[in-house]
Amino acid sequence: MDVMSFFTWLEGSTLGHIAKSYGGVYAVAQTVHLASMALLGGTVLVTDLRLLNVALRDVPSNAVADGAHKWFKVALAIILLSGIFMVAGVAMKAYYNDFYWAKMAALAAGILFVFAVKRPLLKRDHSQIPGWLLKLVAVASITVWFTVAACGRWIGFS
Amino acid sequence: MGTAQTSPYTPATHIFRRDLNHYSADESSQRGFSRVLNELLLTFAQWLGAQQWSVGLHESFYMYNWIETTHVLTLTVFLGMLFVIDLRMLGVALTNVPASKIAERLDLPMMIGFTVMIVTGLLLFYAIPVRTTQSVWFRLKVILLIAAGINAWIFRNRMKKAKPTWDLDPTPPKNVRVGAGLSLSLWIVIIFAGRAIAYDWFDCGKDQSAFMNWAAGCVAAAAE
Amino acid sequence: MNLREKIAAAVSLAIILTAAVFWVIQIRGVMEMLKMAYG
Repeated sequence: MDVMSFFTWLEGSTLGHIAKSYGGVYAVAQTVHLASMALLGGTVLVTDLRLLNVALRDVPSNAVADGAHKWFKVALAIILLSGIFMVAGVAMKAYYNDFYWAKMAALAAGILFVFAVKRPLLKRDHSQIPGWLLKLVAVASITVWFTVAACGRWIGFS
Repeated sequence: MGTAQTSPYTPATHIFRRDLNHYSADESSQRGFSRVLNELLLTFAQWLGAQQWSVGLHESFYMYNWIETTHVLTLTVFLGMLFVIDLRMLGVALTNVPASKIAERLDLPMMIGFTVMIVTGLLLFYAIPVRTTQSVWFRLKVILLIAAGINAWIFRNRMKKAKPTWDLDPTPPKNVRVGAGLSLSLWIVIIFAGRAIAYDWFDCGKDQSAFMNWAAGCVAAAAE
Repeated sequence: MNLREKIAAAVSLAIILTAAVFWVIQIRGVMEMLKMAYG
């Protein structure tokens, strides 16, 4: 099944039907998406601002990274689920939207980055990791998630 | 209600950017004080809406969209910090860090985010003052913002007592947890109310109950 | 620096550079639109 037929199927599915028919339900899904975005952003920022030595400086950065990552995963799960519901309602429109695909690319990069690079690195003792690397990782993290969010909002305008 | 907008992805503000003065013909929905108040608010909003900068903002090519985008994205800063603090106060996140430390250290980024939210929020209001003033969702949002502010103030007072007592406990006392849970709930509903402003479900001029017209502050067609 | 750290540095750099290119293109597009709209 190629991408186009998947999107066609998605929009025609029960999920898609519900998303299209009930504006109130859609608005609730958007709210859940935004609230989990806030939590996701919060966990990312708390970790990255600590790695950049800007916030929570007197708390061990390992503790901050570990604690934040737990809730990052919760936020990510909720945001993905609400996102799937939302796109089901407007699947064909999303399929033809450049910013939607930019967002998906950035999202894929972000998820891969967190689970394949950032987390494996940060699980170790931070005092053994070069400071510049921690900061570089933090900047990359903020950059990728900012791009996801900005593209996400811009879908609505394009 | 019950039907989706034609395009759920595109908020109705795109359609309503040309400010329309909505009036309800149902004069009996307003009594005395609330009628006077709503007329005052409408007059104020119309005065704002007639200003050059207001018109400029809401007819702008990108400016309104950028301000709106900044408002939504800054949620991640303001509510991001707030949610992390609340989760600590619920005893479910970063429990090995003293509660007061989380609250104190994240306060500055949170307040920077809050400032940006307020400034962008005011600009968004200023761009489309009449429709926003007469939005039940905007009105609900303002009420809930005040409630959240009171909750936050109570919380700050409780935090002062934290250090000598429960600061290092992974789980704070019940009243703090209730405050944190209330904070989370309020802010999530505030997000919903903010999002719902763009929908035209309860706009003035729609065929709706007298109560809805009163809640939205719809004013009967005056001498216009 | 071990392999994990080298990979982290390379990937982080790649992300930052890709994003920079993406955003410069977006900003250029916006500037063109504004020139067209407002002259």
